[in-house]
Amino acid sequence: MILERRNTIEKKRIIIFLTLIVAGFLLIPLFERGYILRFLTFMFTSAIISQGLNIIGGYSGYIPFGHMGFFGAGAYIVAMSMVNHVSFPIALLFNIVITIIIALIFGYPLLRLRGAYFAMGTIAFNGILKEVTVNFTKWTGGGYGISLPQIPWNIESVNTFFYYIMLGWLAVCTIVVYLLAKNPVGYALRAIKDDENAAATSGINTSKYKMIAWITSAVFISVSVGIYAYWMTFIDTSIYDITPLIKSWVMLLVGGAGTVMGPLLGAFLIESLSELLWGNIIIFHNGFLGIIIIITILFLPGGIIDLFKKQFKWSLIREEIRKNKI
Amino acid sequence: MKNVILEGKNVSKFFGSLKALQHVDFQISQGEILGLIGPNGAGKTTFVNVITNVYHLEGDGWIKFKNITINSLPPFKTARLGIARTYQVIKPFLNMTVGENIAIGAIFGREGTIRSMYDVEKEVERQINFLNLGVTKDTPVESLNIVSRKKMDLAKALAAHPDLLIIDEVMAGLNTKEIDQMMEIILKINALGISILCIEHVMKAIMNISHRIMVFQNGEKIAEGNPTEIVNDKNVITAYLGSKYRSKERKHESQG
Amino acid sequence: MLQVIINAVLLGSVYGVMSEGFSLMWGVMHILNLAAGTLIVVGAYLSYIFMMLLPNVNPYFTIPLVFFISFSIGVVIQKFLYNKMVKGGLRRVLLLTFGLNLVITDILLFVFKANYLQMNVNYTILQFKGLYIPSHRIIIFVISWVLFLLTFLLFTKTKTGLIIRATAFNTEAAEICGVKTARTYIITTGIAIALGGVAGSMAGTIFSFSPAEGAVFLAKCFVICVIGGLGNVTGTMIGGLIYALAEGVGGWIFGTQWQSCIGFLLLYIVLLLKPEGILTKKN
Repeated sequence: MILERRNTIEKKRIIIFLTLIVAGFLLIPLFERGYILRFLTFMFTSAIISQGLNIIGGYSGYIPFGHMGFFGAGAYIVAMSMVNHVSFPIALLFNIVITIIIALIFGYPLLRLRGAYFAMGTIAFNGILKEVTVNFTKWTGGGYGISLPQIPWNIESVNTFFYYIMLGWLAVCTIVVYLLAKNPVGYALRAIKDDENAAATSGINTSKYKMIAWITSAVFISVSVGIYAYWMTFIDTSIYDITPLIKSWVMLLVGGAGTVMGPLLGAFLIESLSELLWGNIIIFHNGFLGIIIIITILFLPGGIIDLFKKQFKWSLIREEIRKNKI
Repeated sequence: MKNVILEGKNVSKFFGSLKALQHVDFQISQGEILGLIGPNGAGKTTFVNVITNVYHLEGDGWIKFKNITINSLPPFKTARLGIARTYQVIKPFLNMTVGENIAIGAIFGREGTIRSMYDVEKEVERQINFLNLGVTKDTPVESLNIVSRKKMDLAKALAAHPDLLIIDEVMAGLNTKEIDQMMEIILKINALGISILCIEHVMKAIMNISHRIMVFQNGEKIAEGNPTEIVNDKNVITAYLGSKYRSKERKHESQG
Repeated sequence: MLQVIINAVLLGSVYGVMSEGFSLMWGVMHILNLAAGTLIVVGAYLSYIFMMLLPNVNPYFTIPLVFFISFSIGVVIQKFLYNKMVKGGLRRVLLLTFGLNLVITDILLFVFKANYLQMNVNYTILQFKGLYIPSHRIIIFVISWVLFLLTFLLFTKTKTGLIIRATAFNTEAAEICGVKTARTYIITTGIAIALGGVAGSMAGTIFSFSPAEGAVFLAKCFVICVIGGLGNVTGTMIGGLIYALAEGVGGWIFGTQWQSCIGFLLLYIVLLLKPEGILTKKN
């Protein structure tokens, strides 16, 4: 009901604005085929991961600290398939199917946990997947990683190829989130986040909707990381590290968790900030991210999109801040 | 003989050694308003929680709704079958608007009553008007006063198109005029054909709107009948006012 | 095998103390302090600094110093950071502690670099019927249990302990009796971080540590607290013992490279079966 709140004129303006941006992104490869394209592709990847986190964390309120498990699943399934001469599209298909299976297996016990237990449980999930990957060296390359086949084109074509694929998947994911938000699923998830018990007694099958969120989130992420793996042509167990997940979390928070556009806005801001500041300074990456998290939580818990929604009324925001203190 | 919409036999619930409900048998007929009264701690809210499967009953008792056994179903199932409830302590979804709260009632209510999100929007409007909520659907829930919140809770329950509506102490905290208003609303709802189970402490209200009344004490049903019978029932008087009063009453009677 | 068990029992004591802080913060304030692991490592680094600065002093004397400094750190964190978010809901607090963890880890990385350090304490290896027991582990064992006892007494016998327990049980009722919740929380966190810090300094003599090790400690804390019951002082201590035994025996049977996996599996299993803790009574 977010769009419904505004009148039709505003709606038209937003649609025009968005169309222009999308058109802009579609046309960029005509002018630029190098560094900027790669930067944007990377930004799209982070945005997709943020959207994935958005569904399970932002909408249903289940925060998974171990979601990197799906990074690993995506990367390794695609890598292992392609190393065995499976084509890229089929590899992605395998990826989706196997990710859904993994999500179902682990989701069933994990989603019965609440809050902090769930967060920690997902760390166990990630730990298990990582250990399995590391120890079954014959198939996964263990600590040495896997090299994927390279595309035999020139570098500019490769850049363009991955740019459009990632952009395409980002569009798909965002549209899915938009549809989810407007329909019963979105309502169910928001109710679950607000008060899970009340949601259940209101007729919401909480297990079913949580599982939908979990699986959707997993597929978004594993496919995007699968594409990323092919792009990078090399993966190893460092894919299970939490650092890229942290960045995506920050993007989600800053942009606005529980909104459709939040992750995209956040990805754009944080990735640009990243490049400008830390392209040069190597140390204190995570520390700065940590500071951004702290400041965002303390002063702008809803993210920047929330600021827009509240129409920049600082009094409303101060009100929220006051409610959190002791 | 009217149709029975909800009935139960041997309904019991224990919390450790606390006997919250003991062997309760009951029946609610279609279209009737059944009042449920009793001292605090008598097990009234537990009773409602057992019906809606927030707790599951124990032993070999059962509860049937429209002839379907419901006592072992998960809580969301009973809502989808057509039982809606309001809460003693209102628990709205605070981060959503009034419209969104009611929408949840509509979307996840009785199966088959909503076909599209367009239907949902229409339903929300309808309930806001029916209950005279007086606010737009985009109003945040947090800004509502207590009467409006209670009405919204009712709207959300009604949006679910229930066959049975359970109302849990809705009059608490209302002034006389608001109580009259609420009584009218309950009668209006009943006029739509919805059966109602109404838990209340406010005697004037419950006596005036109920077709029949059940009285609980210590988890047991101690009396059942129409309002006049209940007021004169000896067990009820003892339960509420104590046996001393009852013996005084007897003395009074014997003295003419 | 007996050697493995003895090692585990000695190690379990440190694990227990290490997790007490985490358990406390959750039990009293429902704060899942994700920075706990890193703050434990901070304790180790503090001891390390003291040992460098005062090479002639018995290293065990650094423990009270670390206690005091860690306590102050806890106070500062709670007063200026956590108290601002305690009522905001579990999710926000979780993310806040996460952010803090990132900051502290990076500060440590910056100051100390990523190298693994280990503190060397003079010890002799005692031999007893074929078992080898380093003497410092026994001293640490004793110190840990003494700390536990003091904590236990603090909570059961002193007024401060009573106030903390009351606030944990029913914040509003406690406030009506005149308890200042904000201040109580500050003291609780002080104690929590202090215990963690001291555990860190002791652990630093057994394990090698680096800024990144915080995550490992955090994971162990969580498993131990889940086993023992979050908020349960005695349970957590026993949980530490159980965890150490599982790690040790599991590693002995399956091989040490599976040790961390065993830790994760244990966590997974416990969460599946009894999230409120194996040792707590379900109320």
